[in-house]
Amino acid sequence: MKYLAKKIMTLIMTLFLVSVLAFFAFQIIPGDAVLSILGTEGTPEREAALREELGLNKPPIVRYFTWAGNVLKGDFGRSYRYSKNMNQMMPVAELIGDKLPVTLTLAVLSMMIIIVVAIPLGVFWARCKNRVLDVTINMGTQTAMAIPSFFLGVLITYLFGIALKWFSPGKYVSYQKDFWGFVRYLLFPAISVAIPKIAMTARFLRNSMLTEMHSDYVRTAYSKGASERRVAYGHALRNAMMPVVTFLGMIIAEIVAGSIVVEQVFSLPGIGKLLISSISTRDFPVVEILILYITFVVIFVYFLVDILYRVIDPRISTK
Amino acid sequence: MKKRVYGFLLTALLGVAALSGCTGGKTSGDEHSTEPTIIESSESVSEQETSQAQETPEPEKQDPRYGGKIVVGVQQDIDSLDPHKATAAGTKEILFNIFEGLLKTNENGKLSCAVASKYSLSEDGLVYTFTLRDNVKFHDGSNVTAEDVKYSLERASGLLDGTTLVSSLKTLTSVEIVDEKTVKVTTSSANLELDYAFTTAIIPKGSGEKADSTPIGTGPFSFVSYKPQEGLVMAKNKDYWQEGIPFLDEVDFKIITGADTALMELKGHSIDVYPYLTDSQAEELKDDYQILSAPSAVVQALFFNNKVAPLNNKKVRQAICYALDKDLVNDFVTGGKSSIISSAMLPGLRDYYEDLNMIHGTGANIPKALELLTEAGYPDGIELTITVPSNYEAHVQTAEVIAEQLKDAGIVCKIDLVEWETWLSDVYNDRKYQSTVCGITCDMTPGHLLTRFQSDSKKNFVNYSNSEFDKVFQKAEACLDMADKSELYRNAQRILCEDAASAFIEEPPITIAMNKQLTGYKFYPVYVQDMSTVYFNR
Repeated sequence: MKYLAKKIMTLIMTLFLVSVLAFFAFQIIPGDAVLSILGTEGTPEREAALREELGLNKPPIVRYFTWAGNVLKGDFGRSYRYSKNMNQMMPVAELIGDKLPVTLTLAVLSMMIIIVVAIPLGVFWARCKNRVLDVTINMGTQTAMAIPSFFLGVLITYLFGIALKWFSPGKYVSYQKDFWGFVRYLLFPAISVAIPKIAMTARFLRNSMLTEMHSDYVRTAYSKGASERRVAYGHALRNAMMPVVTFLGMIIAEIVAGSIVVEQVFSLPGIGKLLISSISTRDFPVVEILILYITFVVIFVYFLVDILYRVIDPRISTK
Repeated sequence: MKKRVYGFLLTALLGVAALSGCTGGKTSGDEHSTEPTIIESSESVSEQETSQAQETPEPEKQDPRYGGKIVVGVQQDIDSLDPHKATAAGTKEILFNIFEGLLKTNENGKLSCAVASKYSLSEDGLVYTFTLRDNVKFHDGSNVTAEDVKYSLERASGLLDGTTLVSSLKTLTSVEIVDEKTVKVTTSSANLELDYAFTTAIIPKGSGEKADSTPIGTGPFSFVSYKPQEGLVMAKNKDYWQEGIPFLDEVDFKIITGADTALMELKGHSIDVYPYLTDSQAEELKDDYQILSAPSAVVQALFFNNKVAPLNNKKVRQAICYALDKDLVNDFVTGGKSSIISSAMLPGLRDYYEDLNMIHGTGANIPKALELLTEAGYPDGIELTITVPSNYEAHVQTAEVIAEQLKDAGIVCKIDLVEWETWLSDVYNDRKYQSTVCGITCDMTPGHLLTRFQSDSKKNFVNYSNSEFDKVFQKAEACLDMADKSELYRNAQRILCEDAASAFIEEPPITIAMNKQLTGYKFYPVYVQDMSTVYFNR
């Protein structure tokens, strides 16, 4: 219980610090939301009117605390960029809520691909005695890790989209319109996200397996007559998974926080794309909530990993 | 002599036009053929220009087919769905399909009647009388009334609540309803260019509050839905006043950020029309798409900050103008498709454009540049920082060519790439920069392009100040005689060029890719995407 309380306190402190940092970073960078909205057609009167509408005429400190107070009350504010009319400005919660399913579905899909492919691959590789196969997998995973994800996205688009015509690049369908069409389209971005992570996870698991295979309890298992297969899956894998779980946690956090590059390449309207465009239009309320969301996801996933650790390995006690 | 005859012709035609407005002798029953213009004289010229401009001939004319749905790729997200509040060119080009004003710009850059069926201007140029067209309906089914027109103009001009939303209407002093079909508009100062301001959208009375979520207009397409960062969907307006158009049932404007993503989607055939190709992209797509190009109505220039040393020295500015190789920029960046200019005016505005390319030449004149720099006290050359918005690939490339090429004249350039938002605040608003490459757009009025060079203009980001120019410009703007007005504007351009207020470079082309099954795309000298005339040919 004390453990949980401590974790929650850390979460709150981190969120607070991150929000302050993000806010002041926004004060330092040049450009502001009003100029961005009015572009080259702005007149001093319209600028002043808009500044007042958006509350940007108040000092930064006042603005920060007004904003923070509202967030604590559950009001995430309204986007500066989307709609200039005070009465109809799009609530940040609605804006993000609309994009979140895209990123989450992408994350779930790619995690499924990663787990389904990487774990058997890692174990297979650890047990692989064929030298040629070993070298092939080694080189394959090295290459997959080295390719930047945007390039992989472009390659996949060319191969599956333009050459093989398995999907039409850019023919994204909204999840509200056709859920299965949406999942089908997301499959290819998910593959782009998954490939480098599969390579990393498989390498990780292989090394961890190899270490475990040389430990005492494995020798004991062999000596009591267990088959190599039984030793690998029944004994070594469970222990070898420990570091891999941490690693998968990091990956989940990374993807749920927004696969910025992949979303751009496949023009997916997800969190990553929203973050980029909100920063460039100086849409502070949206950026701030997105940063808090990302911070929260990362901390929360690590917390889950911590719990999972204790489930997998009862030796670690929950003090 | 010839010039004087031409001038006389213009004046005569203008006189006729001012009296009859844009009735063109036609009744409102046959609007389809109504292409009334205020100044008829240069129409044939414009037509010729349009046909020359389209490089690839359109496929053989076939009977238009009705129906179908297309996807148009656009680069920018929408800034507001409220037609009076939208300021971004990227938004206005879409809203053109949904909203109409009393008048509407046509593909020749002239004004046609839209919600009004005719109008006239009083002799002193202060009172406009508009007669409304019968049976124009809003997308919600209600008829357009004089009340709606009054509301729209008062809202946009600021007469309603004191906030001017459309700055070109700021001189309006009253909007009166004469009868059900007639509206009288009074302005405080006569200005022939005010006509263009009446393209301001007409919206239903009292709908301003909701304009941003449920926009209602009278255009050929009605608004269906909008999603931030994804796009806007619009559907055919079945009750459109102009018979026979639009052809398409649905048009989706899809927001695609990034030229590479756009190219990929074009190759995958998920977009039918994409209007902003670079030269190399066009080359890559020419087998799969129709590639059309036309002048873009953008004045691209190396703008100087006239108050910052050494650019506050006229000789230094002139030296740069002489050293600048505009032909090289044209060849490298746009494949030789641009029109080289040395004026702040667009060549398309034939009645006002003055060809000043002779003054500094279009190629590099290095000896002259070196001579001027020495005279100015910089025999060892100067350093020049060029600030460029990094999202505009064409401007970045132009700056790179200039930087490389000006070295010969001892001008060492440093290119400073900045984000668009930073450019807006540092360069455009705070004027903290030395020089910048960018483009300025125009709403078809000559004043719009030149007004920013007035000493006290808010848009004068080049910090140019010349009382002689101010005087000539103000005279030109207020002038009610077409020939004099034209002459004055030409003088104003000459002053800017001789003073080297900035180094004007070119009007770059706009190049579009269009699905081969589509016909009827019209280029406008303003920045719009008119989808009402586009149809599937098979």
